Order: sequence, then structure tokens, then C-alpha cells
Amino acid sequence: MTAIVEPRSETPDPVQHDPPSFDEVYAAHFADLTVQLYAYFGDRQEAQDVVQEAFCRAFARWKTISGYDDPVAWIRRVAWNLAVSRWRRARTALGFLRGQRIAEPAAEGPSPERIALVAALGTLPPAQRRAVVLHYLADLPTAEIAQRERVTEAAVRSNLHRGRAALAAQLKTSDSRGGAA
Amino acid sequence: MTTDHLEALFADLRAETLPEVQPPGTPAVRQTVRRRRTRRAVLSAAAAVLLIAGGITVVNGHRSAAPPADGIPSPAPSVSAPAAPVSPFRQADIARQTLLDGDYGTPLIDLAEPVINNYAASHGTYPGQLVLRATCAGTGSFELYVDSQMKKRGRQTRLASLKVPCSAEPVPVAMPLTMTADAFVHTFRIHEAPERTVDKAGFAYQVYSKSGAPVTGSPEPFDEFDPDRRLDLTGREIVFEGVARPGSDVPGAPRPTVPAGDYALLTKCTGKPAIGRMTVGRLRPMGSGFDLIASADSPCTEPAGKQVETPVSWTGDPAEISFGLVTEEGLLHYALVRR
Repeated sequence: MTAIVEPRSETPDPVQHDPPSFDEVYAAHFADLTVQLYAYFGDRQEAQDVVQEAFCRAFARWKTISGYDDPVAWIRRVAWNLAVSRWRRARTALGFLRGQRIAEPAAEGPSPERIALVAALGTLPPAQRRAVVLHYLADLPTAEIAQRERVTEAAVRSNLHRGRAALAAQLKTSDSRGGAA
Repeated sequence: MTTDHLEALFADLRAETLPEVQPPGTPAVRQTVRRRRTRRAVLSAAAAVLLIAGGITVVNGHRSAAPPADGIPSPAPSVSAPAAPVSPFRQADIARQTLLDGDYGTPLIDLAEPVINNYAASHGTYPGQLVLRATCAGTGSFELYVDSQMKKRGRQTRLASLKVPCSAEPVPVAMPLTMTADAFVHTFRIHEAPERTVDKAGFAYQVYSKSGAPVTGSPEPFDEFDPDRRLDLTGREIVFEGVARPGSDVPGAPRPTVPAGDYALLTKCTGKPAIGRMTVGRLRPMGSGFDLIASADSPCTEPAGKQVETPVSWTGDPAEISFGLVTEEGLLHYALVRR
């Protein structure tokens, strides 16, 4: 127990290439990240605010971040961390999503399928919800999700499996309710 | 429902939502960042103006050794120096917020304080593979050491050393940390932090389970971050503020010298039963002695101390303030405020 270990930075090592401009990265990834967090929060405005904040933090240190192998990974990570912090603080997402369950499907805007899916996501435990969203919307492989979530790949697979099962059950219930209405 | 069906649902969700997203745009990002930088600069300037307006000639010298038996500290030179631009407590909060932005689960150890020299805080033992994350808001850098002690009075062994850079926009650094069940206590220390960092920067560190799995340990009172350990200084005009821990005494460090006026000494001591003491006195000419003006004793309690307010006034020459922590382990937060 006497070994002294060397510190490591949390951020990836810089690599030599032409860094993308901040505007390019923003244009290419803002909307996609917002959709992912919308699926997590159930609130598009909240998701948009979080993503904008992540980009603000990135811009403040863009000189460093643009040198990373994958600057978007940094932004995504910050956005998700902000999302999780906000969710933990306010628990607004659940309230919102519960509210959405009784929203009029015929109201202009989201389709009934989208409302049902977002509402169903809102019933999942946070770890399962993150796994499902990161897998299906961010297209991250299980290994990367495991690294991000600091869990084993097996745990991610389990979360995905349970999340899928719960979503299926929720959407089935939602379908039958919709049919009865 | 099949995986394909779910993929199709998510694809629809993405396709349907993407056109609705209206990015505020990069000009808005630039404006936000510019505004924050300006606000930070203004806050720094305002803090400096406030201290200068108070006519303070202070150096943030922290004296935490127990005062001599007669309660009269030994003479030390009074020195004038520029005041800290931003409260190191505020800096510590900024640093901690950076750590909270990460999603690492509930920390086993969680602390945020001003950087002081010879910092030493005792923390519990959490056997297993852990991660130590630390960050610092301010300038300079320091080395954060983790020492392990096997027995109550046993020798300490260096377990880890982490270089923590301080910055206006703190970036956490991390390293693996392994604790074993036979350790009695772990002491987190800072030695020889540079002058521009001590009392000016604020730092935070957290220790987590590496795997995220729950770790059963033997917690110590200071493992958990508790804002109640700090003085409530809301609405007070702070002349001088600091924190002292046992062992944070720096021999020969100057004490703050404060002009005559009407003040209140505020103290709060968290720790095992003992007393935190803050004294105001005046050096006799030629260093031939020290006249005590006032002394505020604050009983140390856990998990958070009680705020004690002692009025103090003097006329004539400036007086010196010293701080004592009469306990084996604990934290004394002290402040001198205008009445």
C-alpha cells in the first residue's frame, strides 16, 4: 500500500491534427445532443439549455478541448453530467413526464408515439434510461457506455435488457390505453 | 416488442425532434462566456475595493497552533499586503462545483476548503479500489498527499500524491487510490503550497468507489461535506476571514493587523470537544510584550460547530489578530466583521 501512483488528467491526451472549429462542432452536434437529452429529460427546452451550457463550458476552454481526439465526447460528457445533476436536484423530469402521460395526444406538436416513448422512458430508473438513450440515440457501444457510466459492460447490457423490457411493457400499456380511448 | 421496433421508434423520435431544435447559436455562447468573464473580473475588483475601502492592512496568516498557556501569543511582525481578490471559500465552492459536474455517484469523501499550508484532514478508511478527484480554483498549484496510518499512534505511510493545478476555470485531476481494511485513518495533506495559492485559492477533493459499487468503510466526521461548518456571514462586512486546522500553523507567518474600530469576532469550531480561540491584541513597542484586547472562545462540536459572536472594539493603534485551535483535529472558521 506504499506505492505512489502517478496522477492522470481526466481529459484525453491531445493528438496532433487540425482541430475543428467551435462553430463546426456546434453546428454538427447541437441538435443531436439535444435530442438525446430530450429523451432523458422529457423536456426539450431543458435539454436545449443543458446542451447550450455544455457548449459554453467547452468554448471557455476550446483551445484545450479542440486538441482532444474527440472534442464532442467531452461536450457530450459535460452535457450528460449537467443533465444528471439537474435531474437529481429538481426531479423535474419525472414530474414533467408524468404530466405528459395524460397530455392530449392530438395536441399539435409531438406525435402520440413520441409522447408515449418519452413518457415510457421517464418511468425507467435513471441508469437504465441513460443506457437506453446512449445506446439508441447516441449510438454508443456498450463498452463506451460502461466507461462513461463507470460500470461493467455486463451491467450496461443488463440495464439495456431491463430497459427494453420495461419500455416494451409501458408502450404496450400505452397502446392498449390508446385503443380504449 | 423487438429491438428493431425499438430502434425504429427511436429513429422516429430523432427524426421528428431534430427539426424542432432551435440552437441559440454560437454568438449566444460567445456572449455568455464573455459575460461570465466580465462578471468574474468585476467581482474580483469589487472584493478588492471593499477590502481597500476598509483600510485593512492584512496578510492572511493563519495561526492554528494552540496559544501559549498564558493566552498571549508570541510577538510577530505586522505586514501590509494586497488583500485576496476573491474569497478562498468562494473559490472552494467553485472548485467543488466542478467536481459535482461529474457523474461519479455519491462520494465517500467530499471536502471543499481554502488552500492553507500544512493542511491536514483526517478521513476514514474505505477498503477497495477508489478514485481520488481534486481540483482548485485560483492560481498556482499544490501537491495533495494521502497518508495512511495503521494504528492510532502508528507511523504514517504515504499512499498517494496528486498534483493539483489551480485555475480560474478549474479542471479536475484524478488518480486511483487503494485503501486497505487494516488502515486506521487516512490524512489528506498539503505541504508548501506556493504563496500565491495559500489563502487565495480554494480546492475540493472527492473520493469515490472506482467501480461504482457500494463500499463499506469506517467514516470520519470530515468525510462528508457540510456547509454548516462554515460561518454564516450573510450581510456582514468582512474584514478578515480564514480557516485553521491543527498543524496548519506556519512558524513566523505574519498575523493580520487591523486598524482600530468596532468589530465582531465570529468563530465556529467543528471537531472533537475542545476550543477554538481567536484573540486580538497589540504588540508593545520594541516587541516587549503583547496586550490582550479581546479573546473569543468557540467550543468545538460535531458534526458542525456553533457560531459564536464576540463584540470587540479598540481605539488608537492597529491591533493584531491570532487564531488558535485547541484540539487534536478539527476546523476553525473565523472572521472579523465590522459592526
